[in-house]
Amino acid sequence: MVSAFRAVGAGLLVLLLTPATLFAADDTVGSSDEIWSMMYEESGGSSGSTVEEAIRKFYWEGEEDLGTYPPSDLWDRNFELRRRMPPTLDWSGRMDFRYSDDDISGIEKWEKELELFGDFGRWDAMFRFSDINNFASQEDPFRWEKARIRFRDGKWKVTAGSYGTTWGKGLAVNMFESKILDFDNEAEGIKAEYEDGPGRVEVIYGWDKDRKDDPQEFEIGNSNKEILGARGEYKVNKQLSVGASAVNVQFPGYENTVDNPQHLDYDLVGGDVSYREGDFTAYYEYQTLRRGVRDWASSLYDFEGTDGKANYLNVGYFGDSYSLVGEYADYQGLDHPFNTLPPLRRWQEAATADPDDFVGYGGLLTWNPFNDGSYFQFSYEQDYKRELPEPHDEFGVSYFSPNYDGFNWIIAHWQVYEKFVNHDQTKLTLAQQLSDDHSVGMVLEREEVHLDGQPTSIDYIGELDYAFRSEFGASYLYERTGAETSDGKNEWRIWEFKYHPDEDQEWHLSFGDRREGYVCSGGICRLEPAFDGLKAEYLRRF
Amino acid sequence: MIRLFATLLMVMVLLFAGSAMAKPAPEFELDDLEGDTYSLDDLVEEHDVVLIDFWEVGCIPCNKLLVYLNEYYDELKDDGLGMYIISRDTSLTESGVEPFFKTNKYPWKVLRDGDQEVSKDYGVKASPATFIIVDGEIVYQHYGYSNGQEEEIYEAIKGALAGEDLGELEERK
Repeated sequence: MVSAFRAVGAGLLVLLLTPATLFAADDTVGSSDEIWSMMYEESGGSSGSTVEEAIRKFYWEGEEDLGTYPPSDLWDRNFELRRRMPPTLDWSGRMDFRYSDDDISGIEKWEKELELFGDFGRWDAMFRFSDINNFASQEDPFRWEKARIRFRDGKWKVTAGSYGTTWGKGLAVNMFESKILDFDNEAEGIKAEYEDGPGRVEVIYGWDKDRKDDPQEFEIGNSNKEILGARGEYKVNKQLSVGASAVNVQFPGYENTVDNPQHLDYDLVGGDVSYREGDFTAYYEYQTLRRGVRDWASSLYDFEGTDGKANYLNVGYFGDSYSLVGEYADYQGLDHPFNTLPPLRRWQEAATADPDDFVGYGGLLTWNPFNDGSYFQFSYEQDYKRELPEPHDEFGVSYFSPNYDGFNWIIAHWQVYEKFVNHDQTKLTLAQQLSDDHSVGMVLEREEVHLDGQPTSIDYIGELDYAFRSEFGASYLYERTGAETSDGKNEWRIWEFKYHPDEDQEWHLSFGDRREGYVCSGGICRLEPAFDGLKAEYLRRF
Repeated sequence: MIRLFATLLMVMVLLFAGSAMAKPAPEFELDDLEGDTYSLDDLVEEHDVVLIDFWEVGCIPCNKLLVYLNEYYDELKDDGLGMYIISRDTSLTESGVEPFFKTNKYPWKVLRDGDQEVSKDYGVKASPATFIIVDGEIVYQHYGYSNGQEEEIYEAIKGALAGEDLGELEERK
């Protein structure tokens, strides 16, 4: 079954690739000389014309533009002309140099990254060499981290190398990179996309990034994680669209060793439907997962059989001054390296759903009663695990003020209840523009943490910011906790400075200490270890 | 070998790379919230000056900047300014995108970059990031936002509408 599945996928990939590369249409003219002679003849052969004059005569028949420069009509025609010109090689890039010295881990490191982008006609490419790890206490080897070459031609797009993609809401496949969190589950391999009218097909084959820097995988020496899949989407009409996908994933099991290699082999099949009518939207996705290694699976998944399945439902209504979104999710045994699932939770420190065991529902109300740029948000979410049916409840309310002549403020309050720990958090953010050049900001945060069987601790965070236009920024962050941490500290202070001499250069300097804590971005959270020391960075775009 | 090659390349680039030049804007095709597809070509053909703003749910600096961009858009849309949001939200936070823009009645098309491929092409690692594109070329870029920086963006938009090049826009700062 599995080999047939993979063979069908590989065959489909070949079918997709062949016409894309062999029958690519060529609609550019041969050279700039050819264009120039064409323009020269059709514009009456006047000598001594400038390029602008020739374009004007060729496309515009001498009509004068008395409006602002550049004349918009001429601009459009100029743009058309550029598209017909032979391709040129354009390139750009970015370099990042970093230094950090962390007293806690004892790690001092110099890091560097080079990213290059190139573009030539229908082709473009990206390369990245890097040893940067955002966390000061962790080191990466210097390596060829990303490389990608992409070909586009009308309805076709083919990518070879590193790529990410999201199918539906990501239950089966959701691959992306977050540099801030050092999170990356993108694949390396090939992705082919074809779109024609209401239909779209995407086929992928790949494996995970070479993580030789991952000690566990390196020691095991058996780190291959492979994915092969296909997805089709069809827009039935303006309101309704449907999608379906089939994916095969193979990766080492959690008990994988050199002596006893264990490869898991999953097949996922599922579909989704999306409906939109006026101010109402609805989305539903269902995925099933069939495990190829039943012995292993049965030891861990002893609820409702050994295979996985997932449901996700999202409905929304968008009224005149408010919107309401409701979500429901039920994930069971769906964890694999190339997916990440909608978490439902909105409080930052808990914004990750367990793909193997998660049942939850939630809602978000956004309300704009004054129509002055201010708005309220209310959210509620509850979820639990089948294995451990203790609910996680969270309630959040926030208000974003309008802008009063350069002054604005935001207040947010969260209450989070779990069996062993409760959080009660309030955060106030203030910003004031003092003049055209100078502005200040302040953030105050208070969080009560109730740990089961322990006295309540209260944490405070205060931050002061100053900015001089875009060029210079300074901030001071102070954090204090009522409960001492394992390293015996209860206060942390860190200074940060930024200098942007222009949009292509950035200097960053920070020193002080920072408490261990979650860093969250885009629904992914990583625990950042405590830091005490110095960080410096120079970033250069070109 | 790769390490040596990359290090040499970085040194060369650092020594010789120029900065004050317009760069071609990476092509893209993205769906908006209604499922309609937009390409960069479409946007550039429709507007003299295109501003694209990379945005994320829950990004407070992004939302602060939008308040100002809304004012600028109201003032300058008739002069040829087109503005588009590129949401960097993956499917994990996507459910908050449409409520935010619909409830706040922002007039722009919101294009979804769920796998962040376009963000990567534009070198965007965090939101917000603002690009002004004229005739398919990036004439101005601004990464991040803190109070007071909106003035610079406003000047850049006006400069781009007046046909100034990147060097002139830099001098306006």
